Amino acid sequence: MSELFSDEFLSAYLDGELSPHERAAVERWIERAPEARQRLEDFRGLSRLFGDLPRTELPREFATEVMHLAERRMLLPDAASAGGRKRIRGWTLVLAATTAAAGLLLTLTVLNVDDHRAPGVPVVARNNPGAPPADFAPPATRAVQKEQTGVQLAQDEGPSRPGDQPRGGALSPASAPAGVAARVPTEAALPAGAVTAKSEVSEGSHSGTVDSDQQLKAISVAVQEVRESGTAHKYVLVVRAHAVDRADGLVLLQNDFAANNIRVDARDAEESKAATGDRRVADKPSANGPFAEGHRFADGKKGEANSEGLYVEAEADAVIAAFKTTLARRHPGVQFTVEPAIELAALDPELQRNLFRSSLEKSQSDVGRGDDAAKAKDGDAKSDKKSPQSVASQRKTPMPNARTSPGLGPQKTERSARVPPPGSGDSDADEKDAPAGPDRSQSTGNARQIVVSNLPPAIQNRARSSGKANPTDEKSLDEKSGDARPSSPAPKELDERSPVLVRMLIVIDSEPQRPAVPAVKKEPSGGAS
Amino acid sequence: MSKLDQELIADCLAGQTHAFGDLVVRYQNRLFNTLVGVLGSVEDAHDVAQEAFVNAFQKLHTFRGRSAFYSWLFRIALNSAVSQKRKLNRVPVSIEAAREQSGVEPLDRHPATRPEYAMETSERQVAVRAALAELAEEFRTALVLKEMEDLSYEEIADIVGCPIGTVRSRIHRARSELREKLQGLLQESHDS
Repeated sequence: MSELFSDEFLSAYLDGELSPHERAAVERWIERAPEARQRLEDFRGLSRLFGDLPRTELPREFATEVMHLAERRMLLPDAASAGGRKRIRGWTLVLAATTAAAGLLLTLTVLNVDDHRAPGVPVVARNNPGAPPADFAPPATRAVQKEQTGVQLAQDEGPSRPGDQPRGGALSPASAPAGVAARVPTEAALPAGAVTAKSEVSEGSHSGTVDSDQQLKAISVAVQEVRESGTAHKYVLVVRAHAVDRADGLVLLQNDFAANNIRVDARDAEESKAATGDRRVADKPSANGPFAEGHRFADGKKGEANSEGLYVEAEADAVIAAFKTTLARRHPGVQFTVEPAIELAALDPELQRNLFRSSLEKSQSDVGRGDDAAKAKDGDAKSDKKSPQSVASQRKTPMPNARTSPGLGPQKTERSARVPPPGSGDSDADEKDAPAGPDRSQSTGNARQIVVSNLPPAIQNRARSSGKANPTDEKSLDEKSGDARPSSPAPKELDERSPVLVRMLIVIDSEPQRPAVPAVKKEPSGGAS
Repeated sequence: MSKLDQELIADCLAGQTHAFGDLVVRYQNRLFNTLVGVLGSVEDAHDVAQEAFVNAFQKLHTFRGRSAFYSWLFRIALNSAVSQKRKLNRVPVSIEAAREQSGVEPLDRHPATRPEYAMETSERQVAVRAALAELAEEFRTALVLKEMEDLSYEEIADIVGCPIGTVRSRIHRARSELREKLQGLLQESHDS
């Protein structure tokens, strides 16, 4: 009988892998053959020995490590291949990046594309339909924004105090190129709410700059894609971040996205095509967009050589929260504001283009107007109560940050609120004095903007109100509170239309060849008192 | 594939990457311990498990759900393990080597905590691992998947990429070899 069965049947019998007929036959065999019984017992004994082997439990951090590694691998395909691993295709959210610079600059512009009003109708900023994060301050007031011309902007610039140098890249009256002013639409041509602002977070001796041509393209592409996709996105959020160490900054950002349940879409066009039917296909970057292979930016750099891109789809508040998390972690003293931004949908394409231009131009000086507000605030210092924070900021030596922006031509410079990292030389005082919270946020438009700034509250509020250029608002601010906090209503849902999906295009560039900004002498914190 | 796995995968593909973290947590111990059995090294198993999860994350969009996620994951892990093996080319071949490689310590968690019991248990575990390590890789893998994961022959065949009959044969040969190597332990087991 045993010749009819091999031990293999015993093994399979033990594993329950025999047919009923085979099983019955093997059982008859076992009954009659002691050696088969013994062998089967041995096999069972082996199973028990296996069962006695210790099982090790990996720590829960293992999953976190895996996710970090996966995200890092997504962002660093070259690193993976360099490590003997296959290059990761399909995650071309990273077209390329450099890691030389350490500065981080964010420009966030939220564009409403869900409006269906007739083209050309001026848009009055309205409440944001998305519910703001709980820790975001409510909107101050609805504001009809005015646009300033480039000339006005240039005239607003300048040292805030005698002896101060113009802060980073500020457009001084002398330096404002005519071309810049010409590209800024007049007030009449602009819809209300077309003001954006830009702030800069920089670390070490580097700082970021905005390549507005590139940003313009990014915005245009994003808007166009949203329109063409026919999806329900209501906003386009374009984020421009500079000089993010891709192994750090973007991963950090992605982690925070993940923590906020923000979907990151990072598939390349090729794989998106292959995955027809996948809903992410609609989100893929356009083939000729700034993330396209071989795309060249205005500065002549190849897209894949200096840019990274992410497409994410999320609720506006989640995006904001993610950025809050990221930036707050990297820059503990940073304050965040959510400001009125652009309503786009009512505009015809030409007007949109102008709007973009104006937004960009405006953004480059918006913080400058914040400084201008600071100057004005110097006169109102009595009402400012001289908070340590504001005093520290006013005492701070301005950052000589002027330099050429590759996308804007040799004369074009920009101005940014600089937020040095903790411990970096030039403004420890600000960092120490800056309160951790509350966040000073506004959302008076149908879209939002995040401004990252370490300006003192008074100046921030001035910057906001000057951004809206609404005298009524300014008045209400000053009247409402001595420290010029926004005269905000109680927190409430801004609009019943919730949630708001944001289509976000993030362009993260680094500028490895950027010249280092001269270090600014540190202001002793004790001097702020 | 359980429904929850599907949901997590769908969530992850929709951009909620944290959902994949849940999958990792769910399967990390199973995968790791099985890999310890296959690779004979805690360190290697950790690395391969990590690599497998990362690869799975990156390839998740290619997962069609025809097999269980875990089977798919394990297939990825075994591919990584093979690469790792080739790279490292090390398999513990003695009890001492197994002890060193496996990092087995007196990990007995049962109430019988008397030192001699723990020592005996440890010795037995080391012996089993050492014997296992001496098996041919394909035999060892098939047997570990059967004994430690209790996968069906079909699932094992799917993972290792061979016919079911081959799986059956490999498992049997692995058991037969182990039976000879561990005769003493088996006898003790029968006596007790």
